[in-house]
Amino acid sequence: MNKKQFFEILEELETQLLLLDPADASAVSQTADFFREASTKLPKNTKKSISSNIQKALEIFEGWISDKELYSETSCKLDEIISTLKNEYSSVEKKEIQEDQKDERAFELPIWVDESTFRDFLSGTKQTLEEMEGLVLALENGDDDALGELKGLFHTMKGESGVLDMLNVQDVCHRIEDLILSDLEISTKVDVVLKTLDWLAGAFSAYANYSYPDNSGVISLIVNTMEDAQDTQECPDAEENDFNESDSGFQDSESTFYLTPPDENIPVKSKPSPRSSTEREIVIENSPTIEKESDISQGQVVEPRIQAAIQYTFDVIYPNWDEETVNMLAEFLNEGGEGLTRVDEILINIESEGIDAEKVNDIFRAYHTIKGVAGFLELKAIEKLAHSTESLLNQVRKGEMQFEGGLIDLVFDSTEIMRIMMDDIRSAIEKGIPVSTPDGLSVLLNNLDAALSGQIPLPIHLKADPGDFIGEILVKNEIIDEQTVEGALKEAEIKNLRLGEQLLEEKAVKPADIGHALRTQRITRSNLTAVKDPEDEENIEQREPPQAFTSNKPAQTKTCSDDDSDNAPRTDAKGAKLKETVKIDLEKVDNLVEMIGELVIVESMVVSAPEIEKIVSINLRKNINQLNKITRDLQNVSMMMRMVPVKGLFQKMARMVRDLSRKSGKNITMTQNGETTEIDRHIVESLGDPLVHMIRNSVDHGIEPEADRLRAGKPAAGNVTLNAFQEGGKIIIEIIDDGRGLNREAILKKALKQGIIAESDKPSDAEIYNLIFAPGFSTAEKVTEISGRGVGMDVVRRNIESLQGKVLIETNPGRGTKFRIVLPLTTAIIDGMIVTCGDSRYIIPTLSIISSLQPNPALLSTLADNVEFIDFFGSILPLLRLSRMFGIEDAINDPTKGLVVILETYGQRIGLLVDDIVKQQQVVIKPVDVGTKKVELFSGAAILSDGRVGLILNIEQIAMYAKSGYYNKNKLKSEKEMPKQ
Amino acid sequence: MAENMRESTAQKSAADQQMSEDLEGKFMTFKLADEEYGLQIMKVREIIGLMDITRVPKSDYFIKGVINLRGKVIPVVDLRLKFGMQEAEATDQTVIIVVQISTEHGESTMGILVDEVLEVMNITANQIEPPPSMGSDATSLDFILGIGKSGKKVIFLLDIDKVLGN
Repeated sequence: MNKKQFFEILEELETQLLLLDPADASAVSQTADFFREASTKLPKNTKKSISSNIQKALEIFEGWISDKELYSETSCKLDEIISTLKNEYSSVEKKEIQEDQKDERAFELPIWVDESTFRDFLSGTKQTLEEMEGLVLALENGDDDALGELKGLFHTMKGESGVLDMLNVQDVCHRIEDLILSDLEISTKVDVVLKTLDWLAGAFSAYANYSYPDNSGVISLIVNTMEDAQDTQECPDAEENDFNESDSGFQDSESTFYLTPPDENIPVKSKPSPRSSTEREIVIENSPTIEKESDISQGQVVEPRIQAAIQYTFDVIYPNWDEETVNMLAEFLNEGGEGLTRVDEILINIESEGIDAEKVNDIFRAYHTIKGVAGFLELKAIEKLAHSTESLLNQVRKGEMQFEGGLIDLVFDSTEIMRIMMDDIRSAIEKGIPVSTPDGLSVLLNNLDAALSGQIPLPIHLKADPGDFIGEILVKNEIIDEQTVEGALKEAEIKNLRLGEQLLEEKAVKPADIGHALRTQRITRSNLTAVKDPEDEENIEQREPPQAFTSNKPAQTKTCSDDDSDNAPRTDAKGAKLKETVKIDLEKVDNLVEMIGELVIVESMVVSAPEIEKIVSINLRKNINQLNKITRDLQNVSMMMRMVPVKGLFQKMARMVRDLSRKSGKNITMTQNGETTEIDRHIVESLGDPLVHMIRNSVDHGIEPEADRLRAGKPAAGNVTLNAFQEGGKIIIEIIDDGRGLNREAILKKALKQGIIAESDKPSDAEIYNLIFAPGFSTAEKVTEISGRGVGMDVVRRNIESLQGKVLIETNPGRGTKFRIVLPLTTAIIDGMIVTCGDSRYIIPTLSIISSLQPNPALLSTLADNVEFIDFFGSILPLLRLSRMFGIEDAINDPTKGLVVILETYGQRIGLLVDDIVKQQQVVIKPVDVGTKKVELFSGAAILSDGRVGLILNIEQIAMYAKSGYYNKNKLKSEKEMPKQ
Repeated sequence: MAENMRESTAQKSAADQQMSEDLEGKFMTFKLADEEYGLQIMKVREIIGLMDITRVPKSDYFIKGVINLRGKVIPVVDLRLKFGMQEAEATDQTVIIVVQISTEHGESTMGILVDEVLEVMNITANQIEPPPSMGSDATSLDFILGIGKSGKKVIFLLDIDKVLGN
């Protein structure tokens, strides 16, 4: 811990104190702990005055914990101590050379961010990073538009991470933005950006575990790259530029510079510390910490404020936001609108019931949030107004100002203008009108500045006589006419609202007017009470209206929500551009899908119940059909909810091909089609590994070195194509390379050598190609870094199978190989054929079924009286009897009376004898876990329409079982000994 | 062996005493043939009557099959077979006790088929004896937590995680 960091801790502490709720004992003790911890980390050569001050502060905290009444007395003292500490620090800091120290620190979520926002942000980053990676690769392929988009994404990330106080990320994003804009070679940029993206991915997971990632490596990479490129010039002081940028929006940011004395501006390269001074500057430039400026201006003597009126000007905002920004803006407008409504309510409440600390804090928080979000959305005018208002409120919190009269009016004005500005932005989005600064903003900002320096405007007083109702006051001051009041009174009575609420709802008056009227009413009444009016009882009656705004009355909640619908989200009405989304916990979606799966089963159980089927009623049939349709629709919708595009996955592959092509020294391009195809996200997750293996294989084994390619008359650069598309309820993913194709002889030779097949076997081509999926198989002559250890393809097959899918190979020697992955739309449901065997029922995945037939005796042959075969269009396939395999005794024994289902798995076909096929049905797959022994013959279970459990056959295992001969040699023999029924 | 047992009963060590106290609590008792067994009540999820059990071919001999427990497919273990006893014809007393077990693979739900459920009883520490020592063969009995005594009855208190876990 160096002093610089301690200073930051002080600032942090100050923010914590600002937002601290003294009634919350645990929060107080947490802050105290934070402080205590800070004090232990002080450098050894700290001046005594600092440590004694810290001691004092700790004592005050101790006092609060035991007695919260002390808060109001001592909080100012604590503020003083912190200011002193900061002064001390600043004087020391200037003399001392900054220590360069890397520090493993814990990341603490800033006080203005709640946990869920933080988590949302982190979970969103994965997608953003993928998108960025895609853009980088596009950039490399000559797509110049990608550059701007990429910069935009980094910029957004910079802003967001700034709000969340992820300073390292913010810094990195900032630098990379500069790098992107610089005139470096594209290829250099791409390399650095890709490395940065890798770092960011790691950094976000570090933040997710609340640790602070070290960014010195990546920063020096970026900085060095930029310096190497222009080594004659000095490292461009990008931060300086950024400041100017923000200055153009913020003309009174004089205090901004205060925190960054010139001697801190040491060239970047010499300071790889995680929190360098440049970061600090960004912090200040960025919104959420701006309030610190004002704090300092109070704790220390700064240059006096310019008293003369400043003409505040803000750049006109042109609505050229990208979709993502528009979505963020929409969210901001909704939330900001709510915040303003809440502020108005609280203000009115203060007017009627008086002030307490909690109310001021509420208003403060609302403005703080608006400021933060407006800051990173680059809404300078809103940010500035929020900032000024917040500064004012901060003074109130500290007890340096009385929050009454003129000040309240100022805040009312502030909410009003803020709302106008928000509306402007909304119409900018919806109609494309540029946003200019509203009239009155500059005046208001000047008034706020004046108020900050102590010139509080006179409160507005309305004309009123003692004992007037709100309505009367409003009418007397010609704010509204009598008819409106009459009408509103009637309405209010019906709706059981107060007059004020009704008027606000009708938008007949501004919240400020109600506030003024209430204030006037209160003042006149207090005069009235002072002279002891004989009509005392009536006064009590009159006290009713103001209480309308007590914050915990249900009626008020109503006002609030009504206001919302009017004020804030106009998105559904007009904004076709503002697409709304809701974030839902994935677990909830999964639960829903599972429950709908159950519903589908129960529905079919009910519908196919014999009792129901007996009923002859057209009406019932109609309703049942309707029920059936709705159930199916529901099932489809629920499945759609889990679908995500394969784009992210493909992007990863593109990146990998790029890296592999570098490593292997082969020039390889990647083509992608159908990246918008949607798949169940569970499948997407488990598809990553198989794709990685297959693409590695294609690159390493498939695509030949350049010389070989040219000799074969192919283009020098190899190509790997990824296709995704939907085909008849199945998702197909193809990995196609234009390499040398699979070498049939080499595979055969290798397989013989490794003992995977026997010399006597005469495998078909398909079987040979499928040998590459055998465990431990590898044809690569040499083990390269990329592949060749022979662990790849069997993993691929296992993974794909666990997804209820299969992999097919097509290969053309000398021309290339095509892997075709066939997947179900979802893993939760499969199409199954229900077959009977004796009184048992089993489910065969329809995907594996080629055909079914009732064989005539001519098609059947038996070898040595125990191995059976069936002739299926000329090819002789082994015939398995399900009954014998499973030991089912009451099954049909004569194959010509039963049904043979022809199944295919990995190029191998078998016939399976069953009694009958019942029907085809979609079933919801349930895992079966039957204790210790893994039952491989079944891939799962499903609940059938009568409520019983049906087992789903694992066709591949059954085919292997057939091949192993176990069944033939042992089972058949033992069965022969059994007397046949 | 009987001598052994008496000895260990007489000198109930501190560790055994501790064990008995840890075990003390409510047990659900059930019957298999003529013997009584106890399950810690916290392990028992519910008791259901005998229902259609789907046989799982090629599974372990003691797996009776799988059932549909309100949409979940859970395996049912025939405890008689698991304990190497004769399989019995189902009677109207035969029930499936659904238990929640924790194994190295995590939590799982299973059914156990027993002849008859008896009662839920409180067994105190002084009613619990440590499992009998079987010399070097002791590991084979590690699925017995202890032996509960109630009157003249002897109740084998089962560690169901171990019984079903391996």
